[in-house]
Amino acid sequence: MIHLYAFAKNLRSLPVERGVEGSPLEVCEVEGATAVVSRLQATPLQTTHEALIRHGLVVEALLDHADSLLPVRFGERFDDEDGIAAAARRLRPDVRSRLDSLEGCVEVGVRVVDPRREEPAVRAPDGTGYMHAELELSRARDRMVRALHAPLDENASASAVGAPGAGGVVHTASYLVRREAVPAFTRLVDGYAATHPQLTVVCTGPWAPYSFAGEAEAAA
Amino acid sequence: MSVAERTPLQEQVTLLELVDRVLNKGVVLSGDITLSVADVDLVYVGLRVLLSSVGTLDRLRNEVTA
Repeated sequence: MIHLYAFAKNLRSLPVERGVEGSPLEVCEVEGATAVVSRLQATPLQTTHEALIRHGLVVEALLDHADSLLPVRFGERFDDEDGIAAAARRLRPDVRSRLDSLEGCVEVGVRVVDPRREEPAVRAPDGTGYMHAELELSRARDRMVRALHAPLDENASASAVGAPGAGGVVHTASYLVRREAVPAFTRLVDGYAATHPQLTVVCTGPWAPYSFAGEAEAAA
Repeated sequence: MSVAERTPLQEQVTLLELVDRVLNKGVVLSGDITLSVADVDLVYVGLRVLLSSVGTLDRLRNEVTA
């Protein structure tokens, strides 16, 4: 059973990293790109914490060993190299095009938490007043998020914004940033955090460009 | 004890971000993978500013190897 981690362009060497279940990393050439894989016993897929972290650490380690990296979601396993090639051929755009579009870029993750979002709703004398107050609160929150997202988006090659989440998360997004632009990008986040002390601003990365790997699309 | 239980907060956040990406993002070839873990958002409550880095990943790597 072959576990697939990522496709790479111009992979210079393999990192000193063990794969899932301690398996050694290998490469195979697929559709004009290099697939980084490891061989495992043919057992049902185990979604253990250790396996997930192993997969993630391999992908992150590869980031510094190639000109471009296309991360593969955890759980892609194949009987042999032909199986990988057949699956890769169905991708549109193809693997090579995706790698070209990601060259020189990394992903930076940003989440903003507004603890007040979890607090009881605004007080108002009646239903109409309540709805107006809620609407105003929502608009103010949107403006607050836009004040962060707009400059970040301007300084990124692409962005992927997720829906607000639980726990007061009002903004969750990933930005595709050129490697050399990461320090300036994180300074923008720092600056925003400094002027919004009421918020929790979490910036992580640089990551392999998971959020910009593109969706699978069956060939017509 | 799991890796998440024995690592400091910054490393736990990095770990959750990593697992979120590994499970929910990245290219899908076979299209039939349905895995999930608990929503990672809740962990951010009460944090201030946190800038994760490659150094944090290196520490995580040591943790998972230990």
